Amino acid sequence: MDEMTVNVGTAAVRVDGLSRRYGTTRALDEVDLTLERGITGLLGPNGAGKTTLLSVLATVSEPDAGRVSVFGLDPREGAQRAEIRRRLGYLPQELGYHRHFTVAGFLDYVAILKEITDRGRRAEEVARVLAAIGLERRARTRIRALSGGMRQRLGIAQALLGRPDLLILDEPTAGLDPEQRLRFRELLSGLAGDPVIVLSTHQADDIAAICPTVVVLLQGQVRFAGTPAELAATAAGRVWAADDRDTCAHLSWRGGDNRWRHIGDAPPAGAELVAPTVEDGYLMLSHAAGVR
Amino acid sequence: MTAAEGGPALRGAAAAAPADHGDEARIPARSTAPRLRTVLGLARVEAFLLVRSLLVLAGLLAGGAVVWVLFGPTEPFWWNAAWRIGFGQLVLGMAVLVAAQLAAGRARRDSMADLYVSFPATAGTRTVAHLAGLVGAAPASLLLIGAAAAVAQVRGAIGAPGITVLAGGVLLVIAAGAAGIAIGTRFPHPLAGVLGALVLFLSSATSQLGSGGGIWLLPWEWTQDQLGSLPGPLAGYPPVGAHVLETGRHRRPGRDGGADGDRRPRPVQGRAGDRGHRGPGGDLPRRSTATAAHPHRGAEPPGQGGRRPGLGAALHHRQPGPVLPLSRLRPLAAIVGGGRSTGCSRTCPPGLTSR
Repeated sequence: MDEMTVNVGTAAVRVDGLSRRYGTTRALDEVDLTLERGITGLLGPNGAGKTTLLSVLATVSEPDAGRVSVFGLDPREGAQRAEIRRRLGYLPQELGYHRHFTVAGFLDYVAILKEITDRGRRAEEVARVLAAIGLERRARTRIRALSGGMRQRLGIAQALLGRPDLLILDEPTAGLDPEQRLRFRELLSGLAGDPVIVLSTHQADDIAAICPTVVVLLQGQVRFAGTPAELAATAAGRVWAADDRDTCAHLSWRGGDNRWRHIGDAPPAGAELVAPTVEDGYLMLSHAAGVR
Repeated sequence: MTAAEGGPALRGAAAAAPADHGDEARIPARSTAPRLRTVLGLARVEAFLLVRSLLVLAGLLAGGAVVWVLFGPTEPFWWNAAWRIGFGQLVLGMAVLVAAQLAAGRARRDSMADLYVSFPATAGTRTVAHLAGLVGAAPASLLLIGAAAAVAQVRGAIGAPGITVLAGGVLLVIAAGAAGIAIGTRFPHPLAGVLGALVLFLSSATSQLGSGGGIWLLPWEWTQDQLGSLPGPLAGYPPVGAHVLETGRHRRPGRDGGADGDRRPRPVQGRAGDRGHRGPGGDLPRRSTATAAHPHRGAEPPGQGGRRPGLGAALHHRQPGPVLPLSRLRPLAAIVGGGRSTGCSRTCPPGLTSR
């Protein structure tokens, strides 16, 4: 493998015609996708296939059909799959922890699994990621004594070990408090080496804040791929704010200013047109796709 | 979404690359650590966890307690002591089995299987590391053997410890751990390890029938030739038969200690207190009450006086020859005579008698 050289250019990850079924449920339906360097946000409702797509990219599960190429490497080939895993950081959606391990001990163990066998380098890596997620003072704490948010940060830390070229994070901000979410955004934005980061989340404001690219996955299919601004623009001219609820609108909800926000084809009486957000664009797409 | 301008390219021996995807920057592949180094790194962690495992500690204490109880007040023969130490090792092995099963099933039990799959270290690497990490159970096993052997020696165990037999105890513990790993990789639930330990216990419990599944784990329980594990060769054993007949004859009332059938020991001559009897051949073991009167003690070669009883004496008595070694006479006499003076009819040298 020392002879192997990979291209990690603009199109680092390519997905062609990817399909995956679970019994009669079609989780992914001929997905075509190209991921570039930088952060890509993956938006979609529950059951849209986000986790399945990420697990395929992480070489955890195999597709029923289609091809995946990560840095030009084919995960179906054993040696190339191992090479992908050497440059991969992965945070699954539901991650348990070895609760009797200490924080530093767990990270050290994961570092060995990532083939960082040199003790000195491993210690440096553990210290680096602990500092990055703000858990350096908890290094000796057993995982069972950590709060849910701290465990989530620990999960992010293990994904960052080894400075991966491909970072796959499945709902990494779940359970984080607002301050930690901000810190997490800063952390991702400041990652050195400009890796490929795929981020699945339900937080549209996270997407808007840090993702230059956003992909909306609905019912196993890619319904949108572009910038957050482009996603927001899909709802342009269809978002209104009013004092009363409009029963004819596609979607209505009360905002923080105690006014009703409507997404629809026609404005309700007395409503004023407002600038759409990423969330509006996503909701518009979801409604158009018939997702409830 | 931007369309792919060109697919990534890969050059090198291990992969074929699309030729038209060469417009991106090339970076070298990540250096790969030799699998052995990964295994050793993981094994070190697993061994450390095993050493610090409360389960293993509990198994060690329980094994020690079992050995202690089995030792009891009985006459400590080494072949018997080894069997009892082995039973303590079995208890420790059960604990190691459960601990190893928990370790091997840790990833799946803790919902980390998906994460582990994404690592370059394969499941096979992890399993090998778990197996190598079983050396972490060896210190507990050796500690149990050492402590039990020390107790046996202090009690003046007769015979010689079989090093291979004792080493078999370590192997038992390691093998039990390997079984635990095999179980844990398939069945991560903690109960699977407990059941495995139970199976190990039951298989050993039936091994006396020669059909137990775990008989190969317990070589000292192969009892078909238990006498063969007595110290010394079987050659030159015929005097034992005579000795048994002789001692048996003297157990009859009126033939041992007086006409009234009083079986109390005869008055001691030259008694050296609790330190045993000093005869022409040297010190006797402290507990050699039953055989102290036997004249064959005098067959000990000169120059062996002062030798400590136990291992040294037992090794000394391993000399082949027609004369029955003291270490054999004593257990047999103890068995036949109930551990009391049997009053051998042969003429005892002065100063040799029983307590």
